[in-house]
Amino acid sequence: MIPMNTRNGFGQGRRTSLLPRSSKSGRGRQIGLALASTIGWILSLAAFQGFIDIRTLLQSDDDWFRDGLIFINHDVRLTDSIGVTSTNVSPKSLAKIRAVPGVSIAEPILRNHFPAAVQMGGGPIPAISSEVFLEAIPPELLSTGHEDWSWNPGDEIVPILIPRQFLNLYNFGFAPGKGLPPVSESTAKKVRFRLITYPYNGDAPVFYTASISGFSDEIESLLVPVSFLTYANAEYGDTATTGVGRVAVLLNDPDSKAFHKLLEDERLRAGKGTRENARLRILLDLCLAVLGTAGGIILFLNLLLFLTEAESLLADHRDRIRKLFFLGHNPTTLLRRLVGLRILAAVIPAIVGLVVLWWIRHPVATFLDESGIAIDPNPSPITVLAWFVLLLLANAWLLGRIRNRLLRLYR
Amino acid sequence: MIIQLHKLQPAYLSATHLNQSEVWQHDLTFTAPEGILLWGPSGQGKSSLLRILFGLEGKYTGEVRIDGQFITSQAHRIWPKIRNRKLSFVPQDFQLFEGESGWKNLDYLPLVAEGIDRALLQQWSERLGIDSLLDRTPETWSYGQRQRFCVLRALAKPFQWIFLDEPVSHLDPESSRNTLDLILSECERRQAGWILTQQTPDSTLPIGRTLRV
Repeated sequence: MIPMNTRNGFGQGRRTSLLPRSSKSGRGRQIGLALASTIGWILSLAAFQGFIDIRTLLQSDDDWFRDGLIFINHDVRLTDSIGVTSTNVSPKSLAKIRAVPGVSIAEPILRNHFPAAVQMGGGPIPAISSEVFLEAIPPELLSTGHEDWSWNPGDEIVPILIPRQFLNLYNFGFAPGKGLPPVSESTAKKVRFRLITYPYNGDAPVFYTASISGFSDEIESLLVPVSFLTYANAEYGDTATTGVGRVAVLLNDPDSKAFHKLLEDERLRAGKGTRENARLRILLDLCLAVLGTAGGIILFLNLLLFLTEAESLLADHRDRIRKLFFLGHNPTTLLRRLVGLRILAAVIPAIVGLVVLWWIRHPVATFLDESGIAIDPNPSPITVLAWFVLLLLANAWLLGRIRNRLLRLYR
Repeated sequence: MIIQLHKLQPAYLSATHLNQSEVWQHDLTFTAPEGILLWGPSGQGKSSLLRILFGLEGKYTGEVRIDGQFITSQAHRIWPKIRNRKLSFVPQDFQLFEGESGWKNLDYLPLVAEGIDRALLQQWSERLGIDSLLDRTPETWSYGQRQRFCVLRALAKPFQWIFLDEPVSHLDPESSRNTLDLILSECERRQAGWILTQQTPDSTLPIGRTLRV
């Protein structure tokens, strides 16, 4: 019941309501509406937060490459192993790749034409030495923010990008076997190590200082800037070494049939990571869109039900409201009484929805963390902001509609 | 409090009616405390004029000002204040809350005049002859009782002008006299103006002006 706040109180006994509850709005109906609204909020917020989480996970700071980048190379066959055929990608194949619709860039990946090794030691990193294989991809294939990842002759440090798997191998294979502590990514980035190049012509090895710029799940070799590898190949490499072993391709449509047919025809193989990521992202986006749409529809229907209920209350009490206006009651007072409880009924489920999201996120974050996926245990500030804006807009719309209906009765 | 009419003309009255009128299409100023009798046969717009002055009717041309303020714009902002504190109205359609007792009906007033309490209203209702029906619902009241209750309700709230639309049309002469006496004495006490409508110009009331509508 909406309590009356008269200044007189001539009538004795039970207080009179200015606008008694509509016969259509029973307690059960109110509870049903509140539950539906809460579910709508939870679904919408979970979908929105999930969308942000996936974006954050798939587009982390270590996302060094542009979306749609694929590395391709030949499948190795027995004839390649005995030297009858070559694993190089021929200029003809490269031209065909470039001609496929949807391929915007297709550039050979540079490789080292000289022996190279890295040597580490000191600090938390124990002494390790290993021969390495270096590659470089054109800077235009690097993602925004990494375009300036480069090296110039005379620079003190050669920046290197390392497959994350290398660090995992160290932390979970090499280090436990040697009784050494694991090393985090941030610690590894602080370590300087030696990059040793062995000139092909037999000259004395040349030492460079190298530093890890980042880690990536999308590469299988050590990546150095094109400028360094071009310089080093020219200085220390075997000039007779030619041919393209691997090609970096920027493919707009990861499911391009023409592209995959070409791979099949040319006996080429694409690195799955990016394509799988893209597919996974599309699938997850689709699931979240379905979830979010369902939540959005529930919320919208709920809002309409609130509006319908308010309008039915207005319709039921049209004559009564006109009489109250006749006596001098202010439309604002009536509006406040009319929407007060309804706004409360709309706000409480929204708050419950946000709290539930907060509450279930902690165990979900713990579970994912155990699976090696780190997400923030608290909802993102953007989610909270979106919640607030949506709540504000929805209720402002509701209030505006009811106010218009009410003022129409004033004329 | 001043009410000003400038060339007021309802949308639905014929030219003949308008030409006979001393109100429509004229410039008039009513200043409280003043007693004004508006008379005219049925259909001349007596009730319409009071409804316009109370903001219930919008189909007219010309201007109305209350204390210098135009009343046509922002109706929902202006009228609650005016109806609450400056004007009171005894309408012909009563505007009662059926199914609720007389006392409960009085509870719906958002504001009551200073010094008005249950005891005084009880006293007035006895004077009006409706004391026995305040605990009953309006469905059980006669038209005359409804009229007198509306007078009681109109007097209970603050006002500087009171509009009385044929307030005693259903009453016997003695009840009429008692009712009008109470109204006029309250108007005098509050220094308020009144506008009363009836079908003939005859009256024993202390009228300031008599105008044919």
